Amino acid sequence: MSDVYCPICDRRINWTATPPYRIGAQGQAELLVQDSLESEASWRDRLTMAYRPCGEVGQAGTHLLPYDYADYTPVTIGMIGHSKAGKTHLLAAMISRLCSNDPVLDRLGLRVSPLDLAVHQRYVTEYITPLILHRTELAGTPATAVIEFCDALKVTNAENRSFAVTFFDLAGERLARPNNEEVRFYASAKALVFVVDPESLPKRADPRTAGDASFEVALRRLGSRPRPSATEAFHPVAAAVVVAKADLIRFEDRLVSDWLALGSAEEEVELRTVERESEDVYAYLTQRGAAQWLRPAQECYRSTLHFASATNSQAAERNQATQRIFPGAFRQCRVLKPLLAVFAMTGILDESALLPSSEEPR
Amino acid sequence: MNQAVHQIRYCWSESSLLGTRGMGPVESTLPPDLLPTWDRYLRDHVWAAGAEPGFTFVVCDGVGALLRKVATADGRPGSAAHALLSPQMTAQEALGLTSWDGWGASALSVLDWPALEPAADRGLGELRARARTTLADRLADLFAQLLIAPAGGYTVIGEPDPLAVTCALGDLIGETPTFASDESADTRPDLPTAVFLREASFSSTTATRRRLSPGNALADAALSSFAVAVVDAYVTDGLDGIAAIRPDRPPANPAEVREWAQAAQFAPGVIADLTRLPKLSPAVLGGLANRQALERVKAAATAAPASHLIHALDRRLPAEVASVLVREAMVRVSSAATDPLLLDRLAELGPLPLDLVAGSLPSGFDHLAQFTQALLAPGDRRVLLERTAENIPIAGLIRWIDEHAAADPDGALAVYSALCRRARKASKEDLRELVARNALVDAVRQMAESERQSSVYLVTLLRALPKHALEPDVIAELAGHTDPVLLHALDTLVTDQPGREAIHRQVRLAYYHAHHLQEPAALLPEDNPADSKAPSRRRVAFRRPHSNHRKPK
Repeated sequence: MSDVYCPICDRRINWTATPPYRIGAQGQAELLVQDSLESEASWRDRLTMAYRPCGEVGQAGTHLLPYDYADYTPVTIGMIGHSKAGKTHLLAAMISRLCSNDPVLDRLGLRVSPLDLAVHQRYVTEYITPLILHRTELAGTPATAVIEFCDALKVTNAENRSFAVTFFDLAGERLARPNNEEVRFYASAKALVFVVDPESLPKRADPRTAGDASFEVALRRLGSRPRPSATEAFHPVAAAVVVAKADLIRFEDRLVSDWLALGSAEEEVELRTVERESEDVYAYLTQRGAAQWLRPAQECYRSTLHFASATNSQAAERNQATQRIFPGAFRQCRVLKPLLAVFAMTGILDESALLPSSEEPR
Repeated sequence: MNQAVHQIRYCWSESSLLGTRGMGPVESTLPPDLLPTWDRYLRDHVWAAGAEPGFTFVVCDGVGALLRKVATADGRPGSAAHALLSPQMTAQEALGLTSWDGWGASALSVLDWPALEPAADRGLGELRARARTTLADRLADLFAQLLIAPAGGYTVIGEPDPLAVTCALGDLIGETPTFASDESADTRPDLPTAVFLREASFSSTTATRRRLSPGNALADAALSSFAVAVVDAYVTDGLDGIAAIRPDRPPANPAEVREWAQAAQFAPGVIADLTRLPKLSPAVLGGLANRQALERVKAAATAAPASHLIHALDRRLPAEVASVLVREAMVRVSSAATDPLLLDRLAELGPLPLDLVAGSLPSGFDHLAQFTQALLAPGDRRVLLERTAENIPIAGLIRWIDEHAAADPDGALAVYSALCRRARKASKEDLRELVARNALVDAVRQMAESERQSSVYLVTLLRALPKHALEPDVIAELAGHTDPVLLHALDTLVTDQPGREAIHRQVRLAYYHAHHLQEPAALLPEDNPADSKAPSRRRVAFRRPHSNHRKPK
C-alpha cells in the first residue's frame, strides 16, 4: 500500500498500524475493540462504520477517515470561488445528480455509493434534500465551518477500479484569505472546481479588474506543488472552470442560452462536447473581459470550462418557514458535466472520453 | 479605548470596509487603522448558528469584545453581527449586556462605558435569577463535570439557556468564562472557554473539547456530592448562599478542586456554612454525625460572627450538631459583652438542658440570673440559682432579692430559698441589711401569690435567723413599718410579752389608720399619768403606716 495522506490536513498516516475507532454519542472518537467472542462477520460489519484517525485521537486537528478509505484511490475535489459565487448550490446539485442512480450514468460505467455513510447522510440532509426536494435556498457557508470534506463517495468505474472521492466546499471568505493555514487541500487536491460568479464579472473589458481573490489564492497555493518536468509550466491539478448561475446570463449571450438548452440527461453524460463547450466559455469570458477568471484554465495542466446552473432561477418566494424558495422554473442545468469532466481529468473516467468525436461540429 | 466603547457591525456585502467580499465589517466606530486588526480577531466569531441571537465574548489584547449574531433571511440566508469593544468589559458584564436594548441600533456611535454599566448590572441580575429558577435540575451535573478540569475549555450540548448556565457556572467556580452561546461546531482552536452547541453534529474532525452534558453521572461521588451541595446553596440563596465557601481565586486544577471541596465542606454534601445548616434536609445533615464533621462545625462556629450563629441555631438540627452550636453560643452569651440577639435566639430554642448551660455560666450573678431566665426551665433555673447563691455573701443575697424581686420574682424566690437555708449564719451586718430592707417584705410580696403566702415566706426567713436575732429593737424596728404581712409574720414568731405588745400596738395603729380613726388618747402613756411610771412599759415610736402595703395588681 502506498502512503496514505489525510485528505483534510494532508498528514501521512501509518494506515495499517492505525486501529479502528467509532464515533460516540457525544461526537468523540472511541476505540473499537473486537470482542473475543464476536464473529468475524460481525466484526467486519462493525468495521464498515469505523474510522481511522489521521493522528492522535484527542488532539486537536485529528480527522477520522472511513476505515476503507485507503482501499481506493483518493481523489480530492475542492470548490473554489468567492462568497456567494454559487459553490454550495452547484456542488449539491452535482452530487445529487451523481447519486441519482440515473440509468444514463451506466453509459459511463460509473457506480456511486457513499464512502462515509454518516458524512453522506449529513450532506443529503443538510444540502441535497433542502435544495433539490424542497427547492429551498441554502444558507451561505460560514467561514467558521469545520474544514473537512463535506461528502465522501466511493466511485467505481467501468474497469472496476474504485476511487475515494472527497469534496470540499469552504466559505468564500475563507478561501480568499491569503494566509489561511487551516485550508490544506490545495496540497493534495486532484481537481479544483473554479466557480465563476457571472454577477461579479466586469460589464465590459477592464484590464484593472481584480478577479476572484479565491482563485488567486488557490493558484498561489498550487504553486508550491512539485510539477512533473513534462508539464512544468502548469499546476499539476485538474481544473473545471464553471460559470455558475448561467441562467442569469442566458439572455445576455446566445452561447449561454444555447448550452443551457442542451440540458438533457443524455447530453450531460456526453463528454465529447466538453471541449467545444470549453471553447465557448473561454470565448464568453474573454469577451466579458474576465481574463482573471480564465487563469485556472490557463495555468492548470488539465482544464475544462462549463456553463451550469444549479437552480435555473433565483429564489424569491418564501415558504411557511419564511425560507426563500426557488420558483417553478427550478431545475438543474448541466451540473453533472463539469463533475464528469473532472472525473475524466483525474482518471476516474477514461480521459479519452473528453476527446471530441469526429462528428462533433467545431 | 479606556471608557470608550466601540462598535462594529458585520454583514454580507459586495465590498466591506476592508474591501473584501462576503461577511465583513460594514460599519465601525473604530479608527480605520485598528479595524483590520480587530477584524482578524472577530471575523471567525461573527457567524450565527441559528435563528435565535447568539452571543460570543472574547478578550483580545486586553479588550473585551461581545458579539451578538443573528441569522439573516432578507437575502440568501446568512449572518449579521454587532460587536461591542471595551477594555472595561469583563465576561460577567458581557453576560449582563446580552439583554442590552441597544443591539441592532440603526447607526453606530462611540459609547461611554459608565452609561452601559447599569444595563450590564441589570441584565446580570436577571440572568442570575433565571439561572436559579430554571437550572436547578441540571446545573449540578454540569458543575460536577466542570470541576474535573476547572481551567479547561468545555462544550455544553443542547442547553436551552446557555447564558444562564454560563452565568451560573461562573458564579459557582468563581470566574465567569469567555463564552459562545450558540455555535455550530466546537473544533476550532480559537473558541472561548464555554461553548454551547445545539446538538452534537457528526464531524470527521475529532472533538477534543470536553463536553458537559446534564445526566452524565460522575464516577467521583465525592466531587458529585460537593457539586450538588454548592449548587443547592446557589439555587436557594444565590451568591449569598455560596459566599462563605467561594475561593479567593478559581481552582486551576483537580488538586485545587479537591482542596477546595475539602475546605468548603463539613462533611461530604454539607458545605461549610453554618447559616445553611437549618436549610438542609435531615438526610444531608445525617452526614455530620461523625467526630471529624462535628469538629469542623465546632471550628467554624468558633470563628463565626454572632449573626451566623444566630442563623445557624435551629431546632431542626440533629442534636449533636445543635449541641456544638449551642455550646459556642453559650460561651458567647456568658461573656461580659452578651449579644442580646444571640441570647434571644438561644432562648427561642430553650429551655436548654441544665448540664449544657451549667458548663458556660457567666461570672456575675445578675448576668447569670438573666442568662438562666432566658435559657433554662424554671425548675432547672431554681436549682442552678440556689446552687450559685450558696457562694454569695448573705448581705449580697438580701440586696439582690430586694432589688430584683419585682423584675424576676422566680429568680428572687430561688435566691430567697438559698437565703433561708443560710440565714442561721447571718451576721449582725447581714441582719442590719435585712432590717434596713424591712425583712424583704416588699420583695416577698412580689414572689408570693398571696398575702398569706408572703407571710409564710417571711416567717420562714425570720425563723431561720440566728437565735436572739429578733431582739426587741429589731422587732420594734420591723413592726414600726406596720406592714400587715410583716406584722403577721412577727406575730407568728415573737413570743415575749413586750415584743408582742409592740407588735399588737402597731397592728392596732395600722387598723385605725386604715379606717381613718384616731388612736385612742389613753393608749399613750403621757396621756395616762397612772401608767407613766410603769417600769416594764417600753415606748414604741408611733409611725404612720406606709401608704400602701398591698401588692400591686
